[in-house]
Amino acid sequence: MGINTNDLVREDGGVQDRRIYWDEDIYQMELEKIFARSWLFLTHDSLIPNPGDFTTTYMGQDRVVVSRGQDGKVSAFINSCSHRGNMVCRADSGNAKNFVCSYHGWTFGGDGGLTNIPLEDEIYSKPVDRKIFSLRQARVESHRGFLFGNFDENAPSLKDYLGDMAWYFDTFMDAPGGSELLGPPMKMRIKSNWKFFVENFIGDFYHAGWTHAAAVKVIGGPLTAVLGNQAVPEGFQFAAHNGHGFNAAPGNDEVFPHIHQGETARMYEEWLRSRKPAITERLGEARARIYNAIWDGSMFPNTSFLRGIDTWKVWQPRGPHEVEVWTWTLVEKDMPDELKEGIRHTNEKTFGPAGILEGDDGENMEGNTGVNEGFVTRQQVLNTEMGLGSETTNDDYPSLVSEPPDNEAAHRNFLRMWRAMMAAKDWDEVMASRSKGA
Amino acid sequence: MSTIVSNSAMVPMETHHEVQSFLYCEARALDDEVFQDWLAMLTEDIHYWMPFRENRYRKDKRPEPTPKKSASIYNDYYQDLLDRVARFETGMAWIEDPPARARRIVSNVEAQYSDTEGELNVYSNLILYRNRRQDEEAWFVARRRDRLRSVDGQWRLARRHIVLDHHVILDENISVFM
Repeated sequence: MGINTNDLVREDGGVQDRRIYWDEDIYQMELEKIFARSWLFLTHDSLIPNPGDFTTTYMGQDRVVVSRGQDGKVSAFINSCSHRGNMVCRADSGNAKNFVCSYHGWTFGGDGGLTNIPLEDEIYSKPVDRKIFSLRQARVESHRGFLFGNFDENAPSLKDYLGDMAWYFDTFMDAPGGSELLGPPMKMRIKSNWKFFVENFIGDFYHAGWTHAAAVKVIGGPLTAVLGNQAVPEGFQFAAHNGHGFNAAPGNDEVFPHIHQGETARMYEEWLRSRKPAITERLGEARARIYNAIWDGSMFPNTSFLRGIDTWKVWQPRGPHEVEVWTWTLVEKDMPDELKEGIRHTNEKTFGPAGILEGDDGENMEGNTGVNEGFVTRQQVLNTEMGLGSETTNDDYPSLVSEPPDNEAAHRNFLRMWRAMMAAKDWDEVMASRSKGA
Repeated sequence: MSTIVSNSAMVPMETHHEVQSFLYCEARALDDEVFQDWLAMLTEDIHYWMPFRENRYRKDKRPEPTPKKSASIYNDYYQDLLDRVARFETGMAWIEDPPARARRIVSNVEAQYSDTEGELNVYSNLILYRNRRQDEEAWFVARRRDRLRSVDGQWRLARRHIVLDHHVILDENISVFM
């Protein structure tokens, strides 16, 4: 296509060509080089607990069914009949032993295997090859109940792909009892390139007090420390391997930074306080320090989360100028039901489709994207140089740690991974280029 | 055979007229962003609920969404609604400025006696058209199931259950009351 993708993002990740947020050619390449080769979030065990439970989702723009077989094993396969291509499942979730195409009735099992073709004996001269015409499966791996899929047989394991991010995730995913998601995911279309949202969540404390000034003011509590254009008083930004990253602003024994209000806030603080000794014992001092932090983070390429607001999001790409945001609620499994429902309420009020913070972000991201219809505009470059050179190592925390927390180290790390994957022929090349530079 | 229509439950014409006027007046307050007037039309024990709706097969026997144990777009009590209005009124809600242009069309109004004295079950349909910035358009279509309560001779909204006919929300936010 005549574009050298290495020219689109400066080697250190600090400057970008705007065409990466606009061009159809580059977007199509992302679907191939990034989405078809990365571990993508599918669902959580708790949302498909029983044999036959299924949910439908996307991996990039590929429609997939995620289904728990009668043996308890979770499969993910392309939601498209191998006869003429129609979808084999039209529901968002449910329970089914088989998936039957509505066109001619071809039937597929819970793992996508072709199990029945109506009238096959009578009207086909030879049996249809079950091996070729079963539905293409993705690899499915779990990190503590969080299920991910990958279409690339040669990609590293989910464990290696997550790398240090798994260590950080375990602050809440490996808490006693573990974590789970409350669903179903709520969905909303936004006219933004998908990457702007991933970057906004990966480490943009900078925008919180300004973009969300009105909502932060109304909600009150510890977050008002950043109201207006105030720097985050204390915290770190983390840039983990393979493009993952996050911010964490820890509290202390008195101050618990979060966005919950009223009775939910009281229960939430009580929960964190009561759990902290167990977290310290199980996971150590370093992770206990960030257990009651407010976090915003993204996992490469398109999953984001906020702890302290307790949202979990996937930014489903729908073309270079549109994203479909899916929103779940993140809770610890053994929290009392009343606290879980309170947390769900906070998440819906702030980051659901009618969320009073979500709307602020949507408007900005549409602005970031739409302006690039201008030919001259998109010849300009964009900047993520904040905190350039602040990335360093830390005795307590793995990966690169940056201070102050108002930083764009995680943006740069994400964009360097993007750059590496766009240029790499295969995963060996991705790994080689990453070990050199990041 | 119909259990939907029962003549004995229907309110007399005069009451129906009051209810309809109440809903039109409410729509005008929201269209004009006169939020304090709108808040004055609510009872303080209001529950304002818009569930998120999934596509499920007809044979799927799981229970319908409830305010607890399912995802909601709105699941607000009075304080939540006050917070949303307060956000508009901080002067710092950048995305509401310049303001959007919104128009609500209310129709299919039915008013029936409820099992509580002085309270009515009211059904209505809503089409909300929103036009923002240069040319951004959004349509929201919903059915509303309201509970109206007579307070000192005035109707007040005590409960609203909004059944939005979207699965994927087709606009960048729902920063509007329906």
